[in-house]
Amino acid sequence: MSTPSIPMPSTGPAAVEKEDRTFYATQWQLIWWKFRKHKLAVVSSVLLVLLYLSAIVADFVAPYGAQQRFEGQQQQPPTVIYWMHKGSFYGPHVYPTKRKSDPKTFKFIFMPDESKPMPIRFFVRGEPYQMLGLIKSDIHLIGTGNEKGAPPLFLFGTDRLGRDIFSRSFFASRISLSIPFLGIILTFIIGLTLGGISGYFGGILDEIIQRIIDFIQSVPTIPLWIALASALPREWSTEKTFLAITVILSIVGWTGLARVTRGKLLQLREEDYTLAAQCAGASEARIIFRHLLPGFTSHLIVSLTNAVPASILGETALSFIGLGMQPPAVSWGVLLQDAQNLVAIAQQPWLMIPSLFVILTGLLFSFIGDGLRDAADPYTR
Amino acid sequence: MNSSSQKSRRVISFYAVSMMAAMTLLLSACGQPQVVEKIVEKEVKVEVTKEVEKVVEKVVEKEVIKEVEKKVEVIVTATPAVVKPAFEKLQEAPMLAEKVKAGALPPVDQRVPKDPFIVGPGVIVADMDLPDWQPGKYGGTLRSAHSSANWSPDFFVMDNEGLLMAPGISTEGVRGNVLKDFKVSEDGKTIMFALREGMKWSDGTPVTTEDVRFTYEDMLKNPELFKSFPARWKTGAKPDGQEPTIKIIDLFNFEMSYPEAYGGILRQFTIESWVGYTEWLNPAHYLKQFHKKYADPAKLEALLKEAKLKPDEWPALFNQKRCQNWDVNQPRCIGYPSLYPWLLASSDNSQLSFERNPYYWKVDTQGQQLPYIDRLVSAQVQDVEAVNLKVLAGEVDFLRESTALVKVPLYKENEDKAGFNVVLLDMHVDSSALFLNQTFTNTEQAADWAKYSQDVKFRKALSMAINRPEIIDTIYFGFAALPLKDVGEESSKYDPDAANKLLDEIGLTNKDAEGMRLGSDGKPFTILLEHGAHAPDLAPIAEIVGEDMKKVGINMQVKKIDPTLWGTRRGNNDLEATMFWTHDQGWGGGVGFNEALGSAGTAWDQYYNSQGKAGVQPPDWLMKGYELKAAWWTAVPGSPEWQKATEDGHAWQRDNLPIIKIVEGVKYPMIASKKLGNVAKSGFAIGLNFAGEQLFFK
Repeated sequence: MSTPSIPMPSTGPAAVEKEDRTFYATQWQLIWWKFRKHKLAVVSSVLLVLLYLSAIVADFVAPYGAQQRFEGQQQQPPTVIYWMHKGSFYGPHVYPTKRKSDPKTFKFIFMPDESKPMPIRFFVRGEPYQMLGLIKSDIHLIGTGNEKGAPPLFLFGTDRLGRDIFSRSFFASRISLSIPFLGIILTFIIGLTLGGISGYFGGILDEIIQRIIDFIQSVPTIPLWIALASALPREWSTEKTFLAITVILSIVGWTGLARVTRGKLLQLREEDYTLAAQCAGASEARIIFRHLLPGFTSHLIVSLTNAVPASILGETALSFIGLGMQPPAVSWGVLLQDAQNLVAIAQQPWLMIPSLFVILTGLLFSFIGDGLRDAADPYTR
Repeated sequence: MNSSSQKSRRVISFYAVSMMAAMTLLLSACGQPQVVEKIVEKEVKVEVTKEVEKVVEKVVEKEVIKEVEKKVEVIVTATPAVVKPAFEKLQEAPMLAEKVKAGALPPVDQRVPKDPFIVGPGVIVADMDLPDWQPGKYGGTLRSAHSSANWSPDFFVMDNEGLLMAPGISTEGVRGNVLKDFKVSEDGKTIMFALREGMKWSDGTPVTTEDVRFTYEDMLKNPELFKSFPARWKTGAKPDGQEPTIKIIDLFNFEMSYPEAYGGILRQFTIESWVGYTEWLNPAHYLKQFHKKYADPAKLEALLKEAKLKPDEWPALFNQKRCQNWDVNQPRCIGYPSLYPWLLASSDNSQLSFERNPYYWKVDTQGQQLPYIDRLVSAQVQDVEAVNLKVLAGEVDFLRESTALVKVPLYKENEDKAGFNVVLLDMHVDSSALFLNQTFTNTEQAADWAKYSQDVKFRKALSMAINRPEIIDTIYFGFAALPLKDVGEESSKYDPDAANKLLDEIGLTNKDAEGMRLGSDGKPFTILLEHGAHAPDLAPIAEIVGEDMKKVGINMQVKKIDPTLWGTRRGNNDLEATMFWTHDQGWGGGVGFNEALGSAGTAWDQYYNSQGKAGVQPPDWLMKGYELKAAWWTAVPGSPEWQKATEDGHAWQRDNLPIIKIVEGVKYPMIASKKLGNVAKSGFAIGLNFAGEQLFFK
């Protein structure tokens, strides 16, 4: 352990004022000031907030519904956006396409009809929706409008059933970003509480909790997952089943965190300031949460920011192998199920675009975690 | 183009006259087709009458039993007459000729029966499906791939042999295969069968009626081996049908008689539903050593001990030692006496290899002993996608089971590079169907479910709510048709308005805010559709159907479940609705009866099969279906009664919609190396797969 370096006052009144501020600031203020300096983390936070926002207002962001099928537009590559019409500038627009089957290659070819340009506009009227069951509207962020014969806009192309992958990606993020996050929060609450009790009090309580952890850790997850998936009520929708499984899994998944918390607390409870708090008559809960936990916030942040993308990936992976979400539910994993075959790889690569969302989310969480860790660690400057 | 169509017309007319006679003459008569046709007609008449006379004489001379004598006089032949082969001398593959030279094998004329099965144009695959059949040449290794351990579905089909056969595994033109010939008495109760004299098991032991007797008396009729006589061999293919009696006439002739007519037995003897010769013909000389009645008690005891079985468990040992047609891929069956074109030679985790059977009993029109191809090798890979990767890499010469329509553009792109052709043939299990289990009770809305699902109007409404043209376009790329035969024009039309009207009519009128129709408990009337995604088209169709149902206010929940769980729930009458494939006409129970009867209500089916001991008594309309199925099985395939029974079966399905078929006539892509000859151009994909012995490398 390195000794905390005490900031040496520098010369000049401005500098003194700044140092004063550092001396009197709360821990969270310190973290915030430091975090602000980490540009990548700040940008990532903004993007992540946008991503979550777009998931909440997916009905608005997506041009079409998640289950809306376009007949005759199946397996269409991403729509080509044109800028020039008949040799002159027209603005971004698309042309209606006609699907034909090539008798030789058996592939679908989409022939654009270049006589009817359709501009791409913002805030267009389209499929009516009821956002989160509250707001009724039919305004979509982007699209070509709902006039008759308007060629649809498929920014990421369409899948086998003729559904817009761009729209589906945003609807999928609702499930993919929320359910794993919920699971992680539950894991943290249980893990910190039980790990804290175990580490702080020790003795027989510690023994019992640790043996429970041993038992839970020895249960393999995938068979458990399969068993749970078939044990839950059948009439539940896939989303509900998945939520239930996530909750149950986080109830059994807190063990790793509890172990780490216990170890840290065993160490920190011997520190002088703990003794001081005890002498001052602080309650046990106050000592754990007020004095001991902040001592390893940086560690917690790192595991939190790692756990969220791991959990999102976990959902994607489980859905990918057919254990998690299943169609007609929409999640990133479900979207990527369509991409796990030779045809997708060789001839319909746009089916893999949703994987970019998974990668992006993972990266954003990592960058934010990196920034937070640096900011929260009391031993670095 | 023109000349080839002329050619095929010519060949079809041959076929109409007589396949076998045409075959003998075709080679000598190439180039003067018109003359040939006349000769053929003449020849056939002579040959047929001669044959019938011969048989009558033979039987009368031997004076077997008076009854038989009477029957023989009214016998009708259903097979083309057997003619003498046109070739002078039998020929064999070079690899076998070497073994003969080395003294390891007897010469070819001692291995092939006196009257072998002669393969020519239109014999294994109908003329119209393979108009340019040609004699092949020896050699080569046919490569394939599979994804489950010790199970190469393609080589199983290729190897399997039935007692009788029909070209292209179709419904008509049943003729001898392992059995040389058969004759049905006019009353349809008695069938005479003849074995091929000189036919040998793959270990060189002759095949005789002792093998049939052993199978019948000591296996099928032995309660320790077979708890009950298989329903397939009872009249009408019913569990409560009548059993046959077998009479052995001499070494190569036997007779099967039923107390009532059972014309469908001929179909049962063909390859349909993959029934192989092992159902009625087993190597007695080999199996007797494991049969309590014949085995030396001391030796049997030792064998049982070795297999770690109790002294009274000889049936278990017997079944472990016996290889059925299903077992051709099993390593334990290496060296087992059999009659297949290729025999499993070695099997390890990565590949199955087969080698030609030196005692195979089919020859071509030039006297070449079949098969042409020396070896079959199938590599085991991780999954179906990996099988297809091997196709794209040009490492597969033949593939059926693991292909998919959705991959056709991918195959096409790699056709030339990898050296194969994609052949689009017909699928025998083509009709994906929506099964509504009308006897399902495990739901809070059980009373509603029974009331509505058992109403044919409800089923019709659901059928009309399905957007079939979209499914055909999206899932089958246009290579499928509306199910006009079994659903009918009216019910297979996409008409949500008519569907809504029907649903209103039967009382599902109350709707919630989202437009979902409500059950009597005030909650949305919900149908839980659980499927096991057994085939690649089932999951997306289920998804589309689920969405289509919501459009007419039926809240259909679509879920994919584990196939094993699916099987358990289905057996326990615990599936409300599902999506599964059904069989094409004539395959697997005829007119798709098996699925239609078995899946309308699981408890009804249990009642029928247990003869009332379990399940729930089926309604009258379903019992009518069982009667129609029995009538179909009773008629002789191809006869006018049979045609009528077939049409009645379709009409019954259209009127009652026991299951809701989605499509019919689905195409199936197959992969065949560009170097392969005698590859069919149309017909069932399994028909081409089945005709492996006539494939050759050009």
